[in-house]
Amino acid sequence: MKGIVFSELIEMVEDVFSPEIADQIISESDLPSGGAYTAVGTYDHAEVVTLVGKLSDLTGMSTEDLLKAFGKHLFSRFVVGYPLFFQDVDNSFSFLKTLDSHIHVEVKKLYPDADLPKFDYSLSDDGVLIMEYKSQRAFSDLAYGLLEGCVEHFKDPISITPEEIDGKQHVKFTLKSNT
Amino acid sequence: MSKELEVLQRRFDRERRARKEAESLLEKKSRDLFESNQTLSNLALSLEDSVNERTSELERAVERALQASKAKSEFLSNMSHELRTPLNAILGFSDILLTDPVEILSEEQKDSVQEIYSAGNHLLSLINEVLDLAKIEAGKLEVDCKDIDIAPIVMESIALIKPLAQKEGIEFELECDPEASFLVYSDAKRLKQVILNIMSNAIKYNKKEGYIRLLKGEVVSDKFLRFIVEDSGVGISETDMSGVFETFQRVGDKTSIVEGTGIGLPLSKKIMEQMGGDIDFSSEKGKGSKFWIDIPLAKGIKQGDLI
Repeated sequence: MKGIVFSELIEMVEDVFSPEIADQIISESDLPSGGAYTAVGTYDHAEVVTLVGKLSDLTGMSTEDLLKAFGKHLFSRFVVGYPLFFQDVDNSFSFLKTLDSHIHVEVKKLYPDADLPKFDYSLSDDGVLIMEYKSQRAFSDLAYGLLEGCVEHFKDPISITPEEIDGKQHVKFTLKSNT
Repeated sequence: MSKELEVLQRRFDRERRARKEAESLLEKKSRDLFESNQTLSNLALSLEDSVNERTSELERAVERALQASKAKSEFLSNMSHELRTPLNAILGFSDILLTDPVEILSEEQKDSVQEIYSAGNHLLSLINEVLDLAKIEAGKLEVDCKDIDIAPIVMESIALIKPLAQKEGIEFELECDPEASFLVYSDAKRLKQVILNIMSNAIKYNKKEGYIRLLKGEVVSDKFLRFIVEDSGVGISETDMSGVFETFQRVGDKTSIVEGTGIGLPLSKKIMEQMGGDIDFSSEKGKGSKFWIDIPLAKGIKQGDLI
């Protein structure tokens, strides 16, 4: 998994909780990387699971909620870090539809070794977008948070309903426009 | 050390390790980029080399082809000259034998000499065609175009061809008036050569009791007089049509008894093109052909449909 996910996670923990909490989860997690993350590196995704699990233990918040919150935070960081992906779109549906066809293609160009999740789409006439998240990493909660971050960014009145098809590895998100 | 300082120290250590890792990643990426650039520039260089190599190979091939073509034209030209010299002796002496007032030959011998004379003449015309072709290919065929009346040329050609048609039992039909004057811009001698070639082909490739017909001429595109010869001959199949004006290509049955070298039509076409005109045809296998010669009009002539 790309290092930006890890460095953003640590920064979020430092900002939202405290630098001490961030230090504690790293110190107590016995990570292969030692928690020294750089955005351009690549690390085992299991370290996110360990870190979030440790954070959950310390804060009493569920890992699902933490991953969702992290997804939302990560999206806001993407908006700042990659403005190019946002310049030609003005709403959530348009942006999300470019994810596999455009954004993931560009990510692959920059990071050929990136292992990206797969999204299947279907957009019905009555303004419902169905996105199916499929990934062995089972980070559907992170995906949920990213979707929420997206809707929030574009200020779209859209409700998101997740439905687990195969645990956290395969989840169907129904995005319904409420206008 | 206070707890806060310890946290800061660890954080600092992690940041330092992260920075070092980022630096080494950056260095690796830079090296990859440098190597990619090297590979690309090597590829570009080798591509340029192979393009240059191919270009000079092609240039050499073109040069060789031009030299071969020149050598062939020179050979044809020299051979034709070499052949004509002894042939002129054969023709000259057989002519003397035939016209000798002393009558030293018996009738039978005279017939044999007549055969020698006819065959020699035929050979001479073939050699002349080869020589003309060689000249055209070497760009040395000269045509002397001027405003001329086509009538005497057509009349003379008919006079030469008619006996041949009669001998082969082929009807010679005229839809035009061969005596009608019409001014064209052409080399009289070459034009006659072309007209004779077209007419003699119409006889050579005809059927028994067939016909050759000179159609009424017409002015096309305000530029040419179209002289049309129609025959009831064997015709040309669609697959053979593209080879009609190719040198040494004789269309149809290759074992045909019709004599010829496959030079006449290509030569005629090239002569007409050099005079600013053209030759073309339409044909149907088994039904006959229609060949037409487009002769440039004399200046100031734009309409009319005479011959």
